[in-house]
Amino acid sequence: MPDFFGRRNYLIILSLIFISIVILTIHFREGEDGVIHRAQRFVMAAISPLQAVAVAALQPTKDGWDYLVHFGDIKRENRELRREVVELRGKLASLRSLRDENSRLRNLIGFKEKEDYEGIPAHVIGKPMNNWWSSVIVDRGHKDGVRRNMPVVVGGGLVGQVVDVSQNAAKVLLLNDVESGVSVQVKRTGEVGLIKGQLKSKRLSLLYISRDSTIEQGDHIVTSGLGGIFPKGIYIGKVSKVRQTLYGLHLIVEIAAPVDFANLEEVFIIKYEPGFAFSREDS
Amino acid sequence: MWLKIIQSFLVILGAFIFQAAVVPHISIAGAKPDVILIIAALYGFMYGPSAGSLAGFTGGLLGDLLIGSHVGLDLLSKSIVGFFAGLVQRTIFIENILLPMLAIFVATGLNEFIYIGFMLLLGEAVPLKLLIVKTILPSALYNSLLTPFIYLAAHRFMVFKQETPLVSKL
Repeated sequence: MPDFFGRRNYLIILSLIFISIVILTIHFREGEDGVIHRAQRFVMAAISPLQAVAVAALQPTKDGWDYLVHFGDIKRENRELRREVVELRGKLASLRSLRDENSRLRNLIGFKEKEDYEGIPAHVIGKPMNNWWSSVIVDRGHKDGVRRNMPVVVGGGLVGQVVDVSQNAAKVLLLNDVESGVSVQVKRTGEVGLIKGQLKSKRLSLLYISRDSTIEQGDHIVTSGLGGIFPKGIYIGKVSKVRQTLYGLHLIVEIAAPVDFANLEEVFIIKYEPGFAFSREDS
Repeated sequence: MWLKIIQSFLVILGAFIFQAAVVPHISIAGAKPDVILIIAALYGFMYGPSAGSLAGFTGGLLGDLLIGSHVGLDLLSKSIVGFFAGLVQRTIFIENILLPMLAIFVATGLNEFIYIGFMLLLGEAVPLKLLIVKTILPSALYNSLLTPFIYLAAHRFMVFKQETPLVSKL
């Protein structure tokens, strides 16, 4: 059957390639209420219960394995954490008194108090399923008050932002995804740049820092609040490497995040409603 | 005919559910296997380019809808992989599992290079050497090692008898 192995198959593959390109284009151009975005929410809602079951079933095995493999490390880590807790309790007491003093002085000169945002605790039920994109699915959705663009944090710092929400689940684009971009500030110098994920690397890139900058290894990076998506001051990480190319206008800065993006289990979704956040829904 | 289509869809759906729910938990050193790719390639090996590309298209579409960054990219790459797997149908006999394992290794490379091409089109910095060492080779190896198990688990549901060119001539 030479025809079967010839023209018909090529027609099929060309049609499929054409359909793929059409779907890619529609997805780029359509809004949040477009047919593909709605289909995405449907698939996420359908698959999230199964992912939750898989996490519940597999997590004890994984924990048991980790316990066996890392028993020595866990003991050492436990000792270190106990010591750290004692130190931090002492620091906390002095910080409380500083906070009270700060609050009194702010009131004195009429400064607005920094807002405390409410957090929605969530479990990660779906992890990245391929090697290219970094997004996770969490078990809190629209009915729990989660909305698109809300920032997501863990104890160590910023994790990412909510990019899609169904009734019972939400998709979080992680900070280390190549599609992610967050406006940040170097705490010491006040310079503003953009954090982006890198393909297949746990480090984050800090872009648009001028070659004349005094940024150095160990500088802390926090969200700048510009753009309105993230509140100002959420910790992101510290500078791990600064390089300069011969003709480049900007430095190449790498950031080491305290967050282990590959092993997230619980996160906090910050109930932050940006006043002037850009979203396709608004446009 | 319809029964075969429905049964094939259920196999691909099963692969998708496994990929979404279980695969993230069995990654080794960050490398994740791609069960949908393996199934698409197996359909290609067994039934030719049309079946391979359609299986890749369906599985890729489901994967795209869940991952969601660029809906269309996964279905494009998986359709192409399924198609090329089908083109070597004449030379690969699924009973000898070593050849499909080798072919899956190559198919994974093809799939990942389609992704790299897309990233370059988007203007992203692509650290090629790092990607080959940290992503493409480990994933290709993982996929080929997993192929016999996926085949054993799925082949009884992959409905039709293998149609080699020899059988079709008879």
